[in-house]
Amino acid sequence: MKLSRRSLLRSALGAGAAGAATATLGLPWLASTASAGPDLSARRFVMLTLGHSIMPEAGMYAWLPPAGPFGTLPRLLQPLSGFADRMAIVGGLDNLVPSLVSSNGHNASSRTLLNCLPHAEALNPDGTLIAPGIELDHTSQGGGPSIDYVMADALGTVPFGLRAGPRNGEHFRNFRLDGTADRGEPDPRVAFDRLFASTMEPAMRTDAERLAARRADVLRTVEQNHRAMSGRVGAEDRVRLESHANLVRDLVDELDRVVTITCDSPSLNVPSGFPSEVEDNDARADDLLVPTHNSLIAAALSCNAARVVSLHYSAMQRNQFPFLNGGADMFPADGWHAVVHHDAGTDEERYTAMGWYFDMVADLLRKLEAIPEGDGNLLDNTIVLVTSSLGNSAHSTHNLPFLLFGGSNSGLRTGQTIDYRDSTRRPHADMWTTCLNLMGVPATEFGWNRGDDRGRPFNVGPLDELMA
Amino acid sequence: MRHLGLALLLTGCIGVVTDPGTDPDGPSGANCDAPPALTGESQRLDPDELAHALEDALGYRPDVDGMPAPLASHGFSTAPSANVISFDDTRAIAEVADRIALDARGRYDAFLPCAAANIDRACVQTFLSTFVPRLYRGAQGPDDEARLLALYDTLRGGDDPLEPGLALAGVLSAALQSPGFLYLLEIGQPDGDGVRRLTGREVANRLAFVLWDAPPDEALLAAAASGELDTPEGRRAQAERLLGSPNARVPVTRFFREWFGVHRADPGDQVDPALAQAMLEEFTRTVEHRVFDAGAGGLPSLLGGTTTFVNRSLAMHYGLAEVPADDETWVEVTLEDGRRAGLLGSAIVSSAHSNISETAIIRRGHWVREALLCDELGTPPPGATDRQPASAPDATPRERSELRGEVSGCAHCHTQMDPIGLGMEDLDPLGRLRDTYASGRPIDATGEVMGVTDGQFTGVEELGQLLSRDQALTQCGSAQWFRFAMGREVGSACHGGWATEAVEASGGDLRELLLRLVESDSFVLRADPREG
Repeated sequence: MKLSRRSLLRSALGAGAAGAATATLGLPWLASTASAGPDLSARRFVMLTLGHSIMPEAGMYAWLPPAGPFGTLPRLLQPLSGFADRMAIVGGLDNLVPSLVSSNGHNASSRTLLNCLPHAEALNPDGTLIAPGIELDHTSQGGGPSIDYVMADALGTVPFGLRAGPRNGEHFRNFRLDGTADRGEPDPRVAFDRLFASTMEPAMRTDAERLAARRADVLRTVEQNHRAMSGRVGAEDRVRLESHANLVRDLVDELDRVVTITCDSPSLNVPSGFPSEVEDNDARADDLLVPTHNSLIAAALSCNAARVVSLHYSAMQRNQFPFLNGGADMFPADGWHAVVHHDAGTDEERYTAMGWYFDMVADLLRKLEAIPEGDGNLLDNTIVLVTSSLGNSAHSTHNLPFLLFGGSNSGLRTGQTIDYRDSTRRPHADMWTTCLNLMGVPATEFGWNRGDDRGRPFNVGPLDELMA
Repeated sequence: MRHLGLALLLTGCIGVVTDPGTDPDGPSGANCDAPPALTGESQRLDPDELAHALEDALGYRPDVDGMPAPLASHGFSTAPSANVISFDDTRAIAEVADRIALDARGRYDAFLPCAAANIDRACVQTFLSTFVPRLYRGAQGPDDEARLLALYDTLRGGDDPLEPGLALAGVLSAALQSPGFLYLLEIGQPDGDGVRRLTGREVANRLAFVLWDAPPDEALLAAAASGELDTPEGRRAQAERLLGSPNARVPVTRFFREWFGVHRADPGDQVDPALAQAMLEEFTRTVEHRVFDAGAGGLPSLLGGTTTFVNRSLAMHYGLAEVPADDETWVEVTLEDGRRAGLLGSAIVSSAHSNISETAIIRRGHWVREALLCDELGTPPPGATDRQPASAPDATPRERSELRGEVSGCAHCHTQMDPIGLGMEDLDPLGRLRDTYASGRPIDATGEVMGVTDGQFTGVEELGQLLSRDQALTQCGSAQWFRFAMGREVGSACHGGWATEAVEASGGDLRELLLRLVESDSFVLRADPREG
């Protein structure tokens, strides 16, 4: 079915121009307007987030080299050594927002990481906190949009969200403009179709794709049906059906959005052995899934199908990494959650497993770097940010890890560690303010801006030291 | 005051539990002389219910996998707050509807008035005239068929005109995304000042979805048409018939899964998926057995009894001596340990109210208090977790609880929760008996339900007995059944009064409790939806 049609597309196109070990992309060379000065319109933003801290050794920040220009990178970051001159690492950024809400260690850290706001249920209509507080749990809605939505909206586009792993309510972090969770698309094949459906010749489409291509027509009728029914029901139901109708309208708007795909015939090569069902994936095939996601991200950015991308590594409980262990589960007794929280496993095992995530970051960087653009390559025009919702294995949201990558046109000051623990620690909202500015969106603050957390402000301003 | 039993003795953190029938300053200040009409809040159907509704309209049961299930942040999936639809849900519904519609193309000959090869506009129009009322369960408006027919015309045109069968699939997809299908709509007819009465068809719909998770069958539709459902006796007769069918097991066990919070449990993150599945099935089998198979009994029977059902995975999990040959083989066993009993002793209940790798005495205590005793505690104040005093790394939950008790502002609520959770500590996060913590320190599973005479207990077996005293569990359970079945908060003082009366009239008999609800005015009256 779908898979075979893609194979057909691929063989029709021949081998892809950009490639990596398990996935290839057939992408035409993208002409760019890049010139000597910074070209903000060419900049893209990719955000990779992990669910737990990235600290293999108890009591040490293995991801955080000493402040100043990089020397030899720490062992954990060795997979990224080829990108040291494109990398900046920032320490001493604290997520202070969880102090406003009651929650467990994962719900609060995840749901405030990217929007810096208490959850929706804790807020009055005027945006103030409800006292004495509504507990944040794994079904809570976001108190407002996450950075990817804010940024994309300001740039006149919509973000493109992927996830690798199951839909885990404790770890939701991306929120739409209305605060509903964007759980990310787990299947790169589905995401590919969604992004590039308009480039398919009708004759090449399956019936399902032909019907999907008419979805806006179908949804316009659905919206009318909701509006008509809402006129017949009571006040409470009217609110409900109208809000449902509005979401249908949003979906139509997204489908109607004019995106000029700048590639003639994009394709996505899916490696053999790729799981047929991704939604319930238990992360045992992440060695196939994540590189395919990375290929898709490269294609989406390169072909102008997306400018702001988020990938959430959501499998954070039972990850077994059999692909690092000769096919056998690495943590059969406990799973990754217990290992990362130091209840189980050894430092060596933590290094091996966590190192894989950095291998995957390097895989994405290589794929971006392999796509020519203007006088350079796609990575030159891209900011890749890696972070986690936790700063250590005890659910602290202080000293969150931030690794950023970019090239000559990223606006980043790379090749160095900036550690705000050495001076004045900063709220992590400042990182999102910085990223907005780097993308050409003027901003002085982000998220919660009322009061303080035991004397510390929730916003200070852009991180000047990080910007070139 | 007799009818309030034990609950009256309990004080919540945010207010005092009062007699709902007589308190003039009750939550709504309601005048109980007025008919107890419920607010007009239709509920979104869950995927199983949608599958049954499709089966009724199409003649076969399609795969609805991927259809977003209602899930409330608190309470039941039938609560109005569970109706909230997200953007992702809207897209998921569109994708699932397309899939079902495309699959239906292979079966057109079974339900179309024309041959699949000869589909034309007239055929589609004739089909819609019977299909839409059936799919929308009588809630169709005057132009619903016309709009769908117009969509057929649209899809037949355009840059890539769809052939008739594919265009009809688009029409089916639209119908499956429409409110008449997705929601259990109750519009009613005017019935006096500010009140509307459900039509016979709407009563039939609610009866069937509450007791069967499915639309009405022909006998129920006939009862609706004849006016039989307008009387309490008529509704009761039909409800008894529905309850006597195996179909009733699904929604009734669903009620118990949601009441006990196990529908939120996700042990699959921590244990083998086969075991996680078995844990949930043990719960369902136990409920089915005690409610439907073991004869008349009250709610307390669910918290007592040392028999349960295990397959191979679960028997090994519990460390039982006799292990069935495989996971398909389920056997009834008696737990000999004398410490576990009833649903509180099941692995899935432990898992549902624990953290991932450790138990959570506060969560367990909070849940018992709110879900099983209907004692509203509210939520912790912001920054509550920051106020937990530091303790040694190997401090036991009891020691940490004692430290909390010394912090100003924490003790009032935590003395109501912590001692309950402490008494359940001999069950680990996955419901296995244990005598020591991972640190090697011994577990002391003595607990107390504060505010209750002789409230001390040790372990869940004694806790179950305690909760069953003085009809406390039955009283709360009937209110929970009202919330689940009607998809609303008990809210109004008058509805709370209904629960009290129902407990007295039923003598605590579970089946009778279910039936009392359909006889009540609350079942058929709604506040006038035109207002506001």
